Parts: sequence; structure tokens; C-alpha cells
Amino acid sequence: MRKLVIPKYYGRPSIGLALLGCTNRPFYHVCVFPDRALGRRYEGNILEQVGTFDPLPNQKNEKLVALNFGRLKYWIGERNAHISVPVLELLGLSGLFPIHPKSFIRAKDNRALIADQQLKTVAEAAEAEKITQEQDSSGAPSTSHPQ
Amino acid sequence: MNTVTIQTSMLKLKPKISAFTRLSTEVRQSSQWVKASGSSTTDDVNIEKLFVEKNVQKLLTDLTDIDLEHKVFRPRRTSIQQRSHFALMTDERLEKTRERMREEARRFLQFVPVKEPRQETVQTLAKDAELKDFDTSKFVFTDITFDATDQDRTVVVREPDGTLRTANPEEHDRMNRTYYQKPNRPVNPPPLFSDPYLQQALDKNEHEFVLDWSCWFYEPDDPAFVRLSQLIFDRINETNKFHVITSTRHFGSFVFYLALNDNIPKLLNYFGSFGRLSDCANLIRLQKAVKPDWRVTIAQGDSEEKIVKDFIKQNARFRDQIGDLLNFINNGKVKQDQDLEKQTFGVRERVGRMDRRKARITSANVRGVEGPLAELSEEYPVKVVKSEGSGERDAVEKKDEGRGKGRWRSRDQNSKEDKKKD
Repeated sequence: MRKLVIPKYYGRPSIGLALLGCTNRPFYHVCVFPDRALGRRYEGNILEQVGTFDPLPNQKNEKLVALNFGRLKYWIGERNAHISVPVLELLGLSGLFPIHPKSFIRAKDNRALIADQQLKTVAEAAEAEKITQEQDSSGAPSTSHPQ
Repeated sequence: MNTVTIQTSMLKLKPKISAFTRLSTEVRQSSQWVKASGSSTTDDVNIEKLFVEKNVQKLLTDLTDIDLEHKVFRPRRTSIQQRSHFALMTDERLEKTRERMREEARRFLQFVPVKEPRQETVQTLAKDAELKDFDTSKFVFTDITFDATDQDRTVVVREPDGTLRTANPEEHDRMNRTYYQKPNRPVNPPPLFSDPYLQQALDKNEHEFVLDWSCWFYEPDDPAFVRLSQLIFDRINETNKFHVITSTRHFGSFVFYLALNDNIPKLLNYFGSFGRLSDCANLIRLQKAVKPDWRVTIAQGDSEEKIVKDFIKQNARFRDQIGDLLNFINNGKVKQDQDLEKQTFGVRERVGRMDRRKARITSANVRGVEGPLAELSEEYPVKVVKSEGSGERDAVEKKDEGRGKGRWRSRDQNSKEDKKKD
């Protein structure tokens, strides 16, 4: 298609995650996309790659994020790029931005979930104990008097 | 999200990190290179400065003898294919060539720097209790800005409990290795650097290989590197395998480490067993330079023998460890050659094939079995393109042969002769 504008310098760019893994192996690039008016976000449309994010934890239980802060500052500060929520969360965790509200919500939900699970496990353990005690009390006489 | 908050938070973070790193280099009590057990008052020793001091460097370079044939230029496996090059030389030229090789060897034997390891403590940059359990795993953020170097790259870690902290040296270097790869530098330290395999390698006398690789893999100020090299040095000293590290680029830091820890008698004995009195004296001088003690200083005009004898007298507790040295000083006896053979066995084994041909090739035996062609010389007539010792013209021709021209010429002549025979 004939281009009427240069995408790099047109409109308001946006920073987001581009999924570039393969089957069952997600891997994201933090990318700068051109203005919304120029079309869907697809691989050929990426203006610049400014980082990577590996959502699968490695052997040491770390999720690795690489960010080119110099270029990010350019796109955010000089070009006033729109930043997608997942990237905002990453930037918040990295300490460049204030922490995104969504991170707090996720943390709260996770804590609730963990508390729930703990309650459940405690209850299950208590129940299991009760059952074993009952079995012991009912089983002991049966072993002492074999038929 | 307005830009003002971004600016302020960025401004707050940057100086914080740099200030913390500067602080960590200043506040430092005792050196990691000095073992706590053997020393009493070792605070305020600047190891890095001491190592690069002129007289210490001089002593270390003097102690590192240059063994061209068996160590520095021994045959080794490389990725570059090279043919061995034989040349007939006059004695004068041979001496010149040797000197040139020695010059090159000195470049190869530049010491590995001895540096204080980086601080392993981390600084907490922010604490957000609200963020607890936002994820089950840590997040490691690496700054891959083009300008950042491996040393000053910012790496921060967000823990699952919400604290944001700077990365410790291990994480920092691992991220460097992850995002900036180099050949033979995998992300995780190879198993060779940890014990069962390390001990196996050391049993095979591969100390130099392990040290070389660790040098390439780690930064010199990495705590893991310091720990590993100390471990290897200790094992060399325990097992008396000094021959594996002499005339390598690790010998300087090895001797420096021993001298710092007051642990030289075994090495002294090793030098003494070869009758190398000057090396013994240099080693003692080194120890006194590294750990100055006003009670036992060396006078200006002391001879080497006197230095060694004084040291023996002052350190009577080492008497049973330096038997060979005492034997040499009192009776002038040097260890037998058989013992030397045994000691250098590991090295010899690897160069065994070369050793057979080590005999010097002269104009007399170049055509025979002793020459470079060995058994093939019976099948092929050996033609020597140039004669020995006839001035400038030869030198020019010799260069040509290096590029393979002479070889081709002789081959052409051979083929002509073959045709004649036909």
C-alpha cells in the first residue's frame, strides 16, 4: 500500500507488549507501535523494540524483564506515547513509574486467594485427623478381637 | 499519569542507587583476600593498591619464570589451524628469535588483576507492603540502554513481598551474561567451577584451564571469582603442585595470595628443591613487602643466601616443611632429575608427541629421520632450498618459505624428478 505518512513520525505512538513466542512458550517484546489510525498492531508494524519480558519464571524463580530506559524516556517524554496497562504495570514494578493500581488489585486478590487456600487446607487437615481418630477408636477393638 | 510524577520518581531513584554503590566501595573493613585465621591486624590493607605497587610487581614478574617450550608456547588445542614451521638458523639468529618469543611470552603472562570483591549486600530502594504476593516469582529488571556498560548497568529486583532492591553481584553478572552473550560464557556458571567436577579437573592437573576459564567467565571483582581462585590456590598449596601454575599468568596472584596469608614455606621449599636461591630470596622479599614488620626487615646489602638463612632462623616453626631447602642450603644438594620428571609428568604427558621431535634440527639431520619429515623422509627426497648462514638474502627467502612458497618450490622439483624417472 502506498504510504501517505511516515509512521515513525506520525500521530501518537503507543507502547505495548507484542507476543513473539511459539507454541506453549509465551515471550513478549516491549514495542513501540505507530498511531492507532495506521492500522492494527502486527509484527511488521513495530517501530522500535524497547525491551523484552519473559513471563515464564526461570530456574531461580525469576521473571526477567529487560527495558531500554533511555529509549522509553524518549518515547514517553518527547513523543508522549500512549502506554498500555501491562507495560505500565511492569514500569511500576521496576520503580520508574508509581505502581499501577492494577498491581495492587492483583496483590489483594492473590492474598485473599492464598488465605482461602490456607483456611481450606487447615479445615481438611482437621477433618482428616478426625477421621483417622475415629478409625483408630473403631479399629482398635476389631484388631484385638479377631473373628 | 502526568509527566511531573515520572520525572520526580526517576530523579529520586538514580542518585539513590549511585550513592549506595559509592558508599559500599568506601566502607570496607578487612580484605577478602586475607584469611581470618592466620592474621592478626590486617585491617586497612588496600589489596588492589598493594598488588600494583612497583616493587611488588617487579618481584612478582621476577618470580614468574618464563618456560617457553613446556608452558607458554606448548602445543594446545585452538580453533585456528596452523602448520608447524621449521627453519634453519644461525646461532645468532636463533638467539634473536628466542628473545622475540620471550618478549611475546611476557605479553601472554600479564597478571590477572587482584581485586577486592564487590559487596554482596543489597540496598532496599522501596518497600510496598500493599504489593505483597502480587506474583509468586521475583521480577528482575535490567537496563539495556545502549550507553550502560557491564559495570554500571542498573539491575533491580522486585521481590514477591513488594520490596524493590538492587541486584546482588551474582544476579547483576548473570543478567549481563543473559543479555550480552559471549562465546564460552554460558548464563549459569558451568559445573566445572563447583566441587565434584572441580576436584576431578584438579586431579588431572588442569588448574590452568579452570583458572583461565573462570577468568573469562567472571569479572575479576566478582566474589565468586575470588572464592574460586582462592580455593584452587589453596588446593595447589596443599598438594604441592606448584609446577602446574609456574609460568602462567595466574602465578602472580597465586604468590601474592600466599604471601598475604603468611603461607609461603611450601613454595619456598619448592624453589629450594630446584636450587633457585634468587627466587627464594625474592619470595621472602615479597612477603616482607606485603606484610611489613619492623622487627624482621631486610638490610640493604644482604646477599640472597643471607636473606634466606635469616628467614629460616626467624621462622623455626616451618623447619619440617622446608626440608629440601635446608638440604640445598646446608649440603648444596638439588633434587634428582627423576623427581623433576615425576613432577612435570602431567605437563609432559600432553606434549609427549612433540617431545620426540624436540631435538634440534640442524643441516646435518634435516634430511634424515630426525628431521621434520620423520619416516616420510625415506620415501621422499628432502630438498633444502637455502643454505645455512649466508646473510641477508637468506632472511628474505626465509620469509617466503613461511608463506609456503619454498614448500611449493621443492614440491615442484620433486615432481620434475619423478617425471624424469618415468
